[in-house]
Amino acid sequence: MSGLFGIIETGKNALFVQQSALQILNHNVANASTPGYSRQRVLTGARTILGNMGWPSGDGVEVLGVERITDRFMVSRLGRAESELGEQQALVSGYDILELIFAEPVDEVIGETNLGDSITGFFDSWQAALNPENGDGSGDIRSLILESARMMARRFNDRSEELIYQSTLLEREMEAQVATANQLMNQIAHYNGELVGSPLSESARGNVLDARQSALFELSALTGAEWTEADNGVVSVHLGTRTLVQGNHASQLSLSADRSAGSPASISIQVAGEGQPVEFASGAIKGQMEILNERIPELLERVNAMAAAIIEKSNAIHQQAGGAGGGGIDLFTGTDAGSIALNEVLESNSELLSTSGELPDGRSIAEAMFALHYESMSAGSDDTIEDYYAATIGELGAKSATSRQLYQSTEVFKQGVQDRLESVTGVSLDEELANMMMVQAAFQASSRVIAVADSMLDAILATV
Amino acid sequence: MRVTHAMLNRQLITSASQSYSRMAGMDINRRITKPSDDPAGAQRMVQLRSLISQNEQFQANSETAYRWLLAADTSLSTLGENYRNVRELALTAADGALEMELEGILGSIDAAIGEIMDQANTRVGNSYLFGGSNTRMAPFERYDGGIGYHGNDTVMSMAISTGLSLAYNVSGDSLFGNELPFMEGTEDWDAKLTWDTQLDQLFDGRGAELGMIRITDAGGTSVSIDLSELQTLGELRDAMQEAFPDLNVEINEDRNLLLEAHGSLRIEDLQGGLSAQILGIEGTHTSGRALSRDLDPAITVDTPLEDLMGLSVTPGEIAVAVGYEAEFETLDLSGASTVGDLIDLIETEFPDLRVEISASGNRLSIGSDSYQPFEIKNLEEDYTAQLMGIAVSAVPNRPLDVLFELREAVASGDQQGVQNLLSEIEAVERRITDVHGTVGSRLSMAEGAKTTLEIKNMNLTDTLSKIGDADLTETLMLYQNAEASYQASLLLASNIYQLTLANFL
Repeated sequence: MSGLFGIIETGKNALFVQQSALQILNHNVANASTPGYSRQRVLTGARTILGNMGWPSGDGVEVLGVERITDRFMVSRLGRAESELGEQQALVSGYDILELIFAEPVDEVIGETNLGDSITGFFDSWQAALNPENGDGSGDIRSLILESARMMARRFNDRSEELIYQSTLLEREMEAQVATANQLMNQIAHYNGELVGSPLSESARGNVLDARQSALFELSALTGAEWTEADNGVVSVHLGTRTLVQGNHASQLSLSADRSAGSPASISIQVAGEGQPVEFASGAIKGQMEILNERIPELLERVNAMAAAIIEKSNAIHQQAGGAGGGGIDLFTGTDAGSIALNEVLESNSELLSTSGELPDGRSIAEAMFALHYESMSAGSDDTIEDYYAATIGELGAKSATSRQLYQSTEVFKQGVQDRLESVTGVSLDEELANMMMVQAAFQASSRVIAVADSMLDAILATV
Repeated sequence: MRVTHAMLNRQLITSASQSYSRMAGMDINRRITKPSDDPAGAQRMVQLRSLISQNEQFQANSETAYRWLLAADTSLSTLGENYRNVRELALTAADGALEMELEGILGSIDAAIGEIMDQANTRVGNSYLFGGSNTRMAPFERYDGGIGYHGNDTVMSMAISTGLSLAYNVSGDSLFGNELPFMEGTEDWDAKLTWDTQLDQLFDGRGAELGMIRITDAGGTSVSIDLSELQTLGELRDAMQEAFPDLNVEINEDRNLLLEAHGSLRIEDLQGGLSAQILGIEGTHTSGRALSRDLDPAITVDTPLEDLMGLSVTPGEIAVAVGYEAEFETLDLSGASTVGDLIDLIETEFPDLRVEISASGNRLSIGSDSYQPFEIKNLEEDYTAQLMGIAVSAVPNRPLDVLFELREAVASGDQQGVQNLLSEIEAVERRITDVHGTVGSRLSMAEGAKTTLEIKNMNLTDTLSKIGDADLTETLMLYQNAEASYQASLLLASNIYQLTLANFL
């Protein structure tokens, strides 16, 4: 159809199209700061019909559809970056806590709260016993030694308890994370269902896709899961060789802990209904598991080894000496950091503590105890107990520093990927405003065309 | 590249928070607040702190040693001076002083002796300097019988660096030449030779080193016997009788070893050994009888009293006194059946006494662990102590007593006595000079150690501070940088946000 009415019809179409373009534009502007929102664009096309002369002629504009602008490649890159960052972040916060537990070398007052100083203080207290002005091996000096022994034992106990407590805290945190992951998988399955279920407007479909995208990123950050998207928009989520979400069905993860008294639990995560534990390649859960299953037991083992060495060596020295002024009994009871304690007998009979007792090699107990400073901790190693402790702290610091650097570089990488993706999918207000002006101008122009056609109709009608 | 507002926003937040956290994370005092700030530095810090603590202990030790040695040094000067005074005064008196002068001289001697006694009991803080490890009790005390020493001969030392100890006290014992009382028994107990006698207990415990010997009998049979692995006399007999079943080996009534064969017997040493000679059975014995020399086995703690030929009495009761002005106490020895029992009985009742088998291996020796006299004597009607040869008494050698004896000699005008005693005084003086020299060198060692340790402590603390402490200037500069960049990002943010197309529509 053509003619003046045709022109008015075309103009009206154009007005509608400009309005829907403005509507989508409005939607974009409104969601400019919505996380995970991908901008949408109205796709318009020229309408052509066969004119009355048999020539094809333009018949105005039509809405072809609403496009959600995104970059699949960047999206999966970002997913991967999120999962790596999740792992690094878990490691960093795990190491932060472990460093805090050892409180090295924050404390400035020697002998106050940290383990290293309490060990040094314990060895040193024996040297103080050799000083005749500190008493004659009874009373004051004994209580000084006993107090430093008690203090050291308590520091060992503290470290052991704190490590085990931290392990329980992490376990609880992981339980919450597993629950979140399960919920996310359910959501993703639900969105999958919506995409293939009832027909949605294209703009609404875009919103569902955005929501699912956010869920996928979140799941990735937690578990390191990856996904593949089918042509119909449905994603399946994989964790290694396992498929966690398929269509509108989601598997569930469950956490199980292997516990034995006095040591931290060992955690594994299974897919419900399957026996084999899941291997995580990245993600926060992997980081947590590394801290929980490896770092904490490793540290505890080292602290235990130190406690065991001190118990064994001090007892051997104090046992050997007999004769005047006590000796011949154990200084400490227990076998490791958790159980080390001053021998109860000494708690009530401090006179049984001997400093002057003589060893077969001619040294006094006090000399031999002080010399533990220089004795290697175990056969085949040159490290003294204090060296070993310093090395433990150094290693912890090194691991923590590495994970922090890795975290920082991963974050920079993630930011880069996010910027890239954002540059495609993000809403630029200037752009939207410029487009708005364009749409506005087009709307005004179309209105003017209708007005002109109208005045032309008027002119024709006036001749009647 | 499209730049969106969300992107701009995030970048601004990131850069602002980075500069802010750089600024906030800056500790003005410490460079390392947790190990991950500098793992190697943190490790070094932990080690350094342990070293510093040890070093401080060494410092405290060297301070104490220094104080003790300094006190000893001063005290020894005074002692030396007063001994010289006493000696000179005594000499003056001995050269023939007038009656009226003597009064004055005696007064001066008394003053000097008083000063010496004072110094002998001198203290550092509340510890007595010259009492060995017994620092809580005045070491020298005056009794009627003389000056008693309550200290011991322990030399106390303290570590002043890794593996280096410094002796910091002088025992009164080594200073004045006190000697613990000690006496040997007067009777040879002469242990019996038995088949169980150990070969290394022969000849009063000196033992016999035996080697190869060869024995040839009348029939011409010749056998070499290796005696080197044998332990007891019984084994020696068995070894010989294994080779010659007819050979009679016995211990005769003189408690010597007797070898008897039918016909002649020849015994010789092999391989340059001396076994047969040592035992006294070497040579050709045509009579067939080879008699050993007196083998004199030493007594041991296990030796039964009945095996002691020289012990002519079954032990009964003895009287023992230990200490100055001590009462005699009765001790019943009748329960003893071996030498060890005797020793135990005496030592249990009198812990200060040290009863041992004497170096000659055939009697007891009795000494005391304390500087106290002791005496053992018969109880009335009972001659146990005397017959056992342990009726002995001993007093510790007490050079301080000499001072009082000298004073008496001067007072009574005994010139010969004064001369005799002066040599003893001089001996003590020499000893004081010697000890003074040792103390002086130790004192300078302690002083040197003190200085070294102070420097070391300074170095260690310095290193620790270099590792752990923040450089104030550097930190301030970094802080200002961080602050500037924080301000810049805030400024940028506030300016950029004002610029949008909306402003121009």
